[in-house]
Amino acid sequence: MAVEPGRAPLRRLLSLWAIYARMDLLWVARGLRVSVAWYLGDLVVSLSAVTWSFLLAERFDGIGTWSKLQVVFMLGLALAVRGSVEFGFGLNAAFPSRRIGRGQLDHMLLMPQPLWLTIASDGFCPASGSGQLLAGSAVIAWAVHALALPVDATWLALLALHVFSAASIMLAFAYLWGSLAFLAPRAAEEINSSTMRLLEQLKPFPLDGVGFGLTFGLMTVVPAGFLAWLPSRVLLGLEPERSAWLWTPLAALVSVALAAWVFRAGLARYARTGSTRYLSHGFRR
Amino acid sequence: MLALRQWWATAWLSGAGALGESPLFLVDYLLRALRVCVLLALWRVVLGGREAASPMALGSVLTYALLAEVFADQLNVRTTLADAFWQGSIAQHFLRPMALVPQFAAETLGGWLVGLALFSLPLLLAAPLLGVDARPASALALLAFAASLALAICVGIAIDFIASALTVALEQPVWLVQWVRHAVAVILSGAVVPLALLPWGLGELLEWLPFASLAWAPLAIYTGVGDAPRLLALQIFWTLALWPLAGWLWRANREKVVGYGG
Repeated sequence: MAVEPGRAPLRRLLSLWAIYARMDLLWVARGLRVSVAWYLGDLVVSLSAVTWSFLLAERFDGIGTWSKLQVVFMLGLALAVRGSVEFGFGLNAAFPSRRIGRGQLDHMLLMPQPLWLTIASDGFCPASGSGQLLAGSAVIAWAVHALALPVDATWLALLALHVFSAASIMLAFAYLWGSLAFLAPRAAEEINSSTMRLLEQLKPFPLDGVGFGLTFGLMTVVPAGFLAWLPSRVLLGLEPERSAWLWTPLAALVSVALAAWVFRAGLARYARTGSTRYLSHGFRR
Repeated sequence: MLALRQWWATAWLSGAGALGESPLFLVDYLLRALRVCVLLALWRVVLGGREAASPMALGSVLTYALLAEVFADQLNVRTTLADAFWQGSIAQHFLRPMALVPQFAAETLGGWLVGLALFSLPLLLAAPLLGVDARPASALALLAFAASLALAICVGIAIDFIASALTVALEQPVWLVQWVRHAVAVILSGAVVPLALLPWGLGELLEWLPFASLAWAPLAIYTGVGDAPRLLALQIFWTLALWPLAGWLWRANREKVVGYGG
């Protein structure tokens, strides 16, 4: 089961995923009470993030210019995007401020492999992290059927591309803000809880009609619009621009590049200062 | 007098701790302010052209949404008890010469003072700039709101202790129980969507649950969309019902607390 350090990065990543997948499966399978509590809890939490948007769409027969079914499709997409992040980046891998703020980055730096490989692998949770992805996929499938959308291989590829891109943007946003913990480990330890909550609360809403300033802000400063709204517009055929299918993937590329640059800058500082969060008897400051 | 001094000192320490390291904690408030702006804009979109179908006027909904953010911490109380489990510092709390509930209540209040001064008050003052009339429905509504908010905090602390006791009793991860409790409370309490705006008559049903006493009751009283005497009576009922339950659950499980983290 050991992974040799000299292997090609991609093969090594696949080997690490296999190891983490096995450990995750063992964690879920250790008892019925644990697995039921986990999946039930995950389901409640994930549904709560999108329920109020659905309830409003039901109450007012849609939101803005969006019909009820279109809103449901968008909520399914929002769940699938968050689920993808949970699937590949669980165990606080999507909350870097906690790992940095708690001094746990040291554990990752000690691993005999590049840091990016650790980040890309040690949160891989295909068993415990699959709840939201499955729920999102089911909601999307139901909405596609109800809306009678013409689905072919191209559309499915476009869906996968947008889910992947939106999940990348979500992660990039987390690493961008989470890097603040390099400057202030204690004050910014939970900054990713705030940023994730912000995205979670704003993503399940169609932004048509909120005004240029806010739309611009939600596509740049807080990119909630890229997580469900814009991808849904493209996939539902509401976006008149032919090049619109490129916008979310391009935004993902820019976001990831920016986050990587900021994180590396923070890491350079961390190399000089380290972490002082733990007292000698184990508790955090 | 000594108890009051202990209580206030604990609250002060907790508040000062939040300010201690870096002004970067202010970023959190900036993000919250941005969220308020977006939510207000979204409410205008949701109700735009559909006001006739709504039991609440747009102005009332905006006031409700703004107040929900101003008093977000008080409307969904989260004491530091779960953090104490998580960080292993619960052992230190047991050793202090002060009862446990006042300790955690004081620590929670201390954390609120910073938020109230640096976020809630400025947001309330900025209401006209956001196009929101933040005034209460009447002077009587303001008085009833103050009483209702105090009761909401009482119910919130009781629910927090019940959730924490259940964490120990059921041997579940601290954060899993906290997530679920928060998620359930956000939906059922009316903190995000006023219960009156829920479909299928759900709001009328949810109003009877303890979660409605957390957010819907004080906010509905403030905006004048709820029946104040009935909502206050429900809050008193839940306070009287939940506190003995919280005390019993906590006493039955406090010695089962096992620290394995830190």
